[in-house]
Amino acid sequence: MSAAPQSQKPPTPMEPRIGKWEIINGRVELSASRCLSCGETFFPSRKVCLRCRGETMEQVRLKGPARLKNFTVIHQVPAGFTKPLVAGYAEFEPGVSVFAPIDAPSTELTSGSTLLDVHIGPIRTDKNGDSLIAYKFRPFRDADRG
Amino acid sequence: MIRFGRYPDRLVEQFASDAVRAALADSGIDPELITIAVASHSSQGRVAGQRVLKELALTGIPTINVENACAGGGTALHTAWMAVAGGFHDAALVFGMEKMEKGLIVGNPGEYEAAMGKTLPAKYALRARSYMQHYGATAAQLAMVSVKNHRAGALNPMAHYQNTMTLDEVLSSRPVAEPLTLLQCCPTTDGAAAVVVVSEALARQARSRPVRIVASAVTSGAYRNAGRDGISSDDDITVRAAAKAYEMAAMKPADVHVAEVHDAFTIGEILACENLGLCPRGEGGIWAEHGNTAIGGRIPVNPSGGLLSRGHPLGASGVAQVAELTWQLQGRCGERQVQGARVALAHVVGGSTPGIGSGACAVHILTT
Ligand SMILES: [Zn+2]
Repeated sequence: MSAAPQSQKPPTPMEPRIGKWEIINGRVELSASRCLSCGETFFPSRKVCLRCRGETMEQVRLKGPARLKNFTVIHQVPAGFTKPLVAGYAEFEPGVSVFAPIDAPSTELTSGSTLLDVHIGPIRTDKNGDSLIAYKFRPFRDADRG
Repeated sequence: MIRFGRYPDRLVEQFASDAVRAALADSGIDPELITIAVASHSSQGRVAGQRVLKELALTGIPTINVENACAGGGTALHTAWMAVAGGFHDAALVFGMEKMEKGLIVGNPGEYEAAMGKTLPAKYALRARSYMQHYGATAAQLAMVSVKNHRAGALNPMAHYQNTMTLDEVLSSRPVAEPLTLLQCCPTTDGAAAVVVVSEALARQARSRPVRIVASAVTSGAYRNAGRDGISSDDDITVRAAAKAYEMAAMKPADVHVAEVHDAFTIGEILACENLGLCPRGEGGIWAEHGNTAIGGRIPVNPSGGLLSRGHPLGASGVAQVAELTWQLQGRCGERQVQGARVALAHVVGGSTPGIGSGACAVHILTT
């Protein structure tokens, strides 16, 4: 399933504050930073470690499958989002979680067990009604990897 | 304070100056003796504190405007307390005010979770789901917090909403962020509240019987990785503020007779009670369900109706809590009076930033 928005214009990526991603061999990888002093990993990546104030960070990539940690269904959504919005945290490795919308009905999700994959798709529309794209989650299926 | 509500036709300067005037009159302190003012608000524009005081011709004194989201009121009181307890001033005026925009509070630019759709109700909804999963709490237990607080608010002439509601009404109201329904989220409310902080010497001149601030603590969010540290940033910020406050007061949670805690959402009150040590970890929902936190229960929480019923004008709430607790300790609360209350605790927490969780928390302990 491709989640590319239906628009003549090329889709616009969201603002850089949400973090960076790359598509490698067709798979989305999120760009995080790991502190070389204490090992804590942060997404979006940052220059100073929040745990130990260390300033030597290495870039690491987070890729699926990630385990769904917790989610909610948001019915009162911010401007530009479509409701209801299923969104939550996926844990990529122990202690490293990312929040994003999830393309799946809540009935298909179980916190603590559902495996999720990352893909790129529309997050919301901007003031002009144009679609903004970024990383989001969907249930992981081995078949998707082919 | 003034009655909280919706004041579309009044300027914040007008209704906030009413709250200040009422506090000054109630305290019996000569306004000439006030040498510093601390004003809390989140979005009332530049020098809003001075604009309010101009209405009362209280001009020229140092006026500090404080922004700390929902914890602004408690932070303003802490600032005034430092000024007076530190011996720099004998009398300080503290007020909080907000004229709110309808709907969701817009997230800060620069925060990725808000950009990805995480609203404040969603933040609390996620905390609720994690709590329910961990401790087996039920949706009905969460909703009981709203039933209880509206029952109390119905007895508070200062509350925005003075109507009771049934458990079924709370649970069947429209969903905002699952499992939180509309009636488990604080309403959009305008309001202002004020208190006067004075030195012990000046307190003897007060008209109404003054109460004593025995502890004042403010904490900011710190990085915690719940998986590794065993506690989330959002819980930790209150645990640290409470520990500081209890130490300062040389008290323990069991010494508290009445509390006003941050119940912007029902789950917030449950978690606050546990983080403040007012009830055992994991039992907050059961305590709400059994009436332990109702007026007349083991530890009455939010006898004013809390943010859920009194309303939550961001910068004003922390000051309104202290006004309520002052009246509770003075025995002036009529039908919602907590009998025998001699030690009171106020707790506010606010802001949301990925990595550090809630931005600010204030805990105060007051005694007769
Ligand atoms: Zn580090």
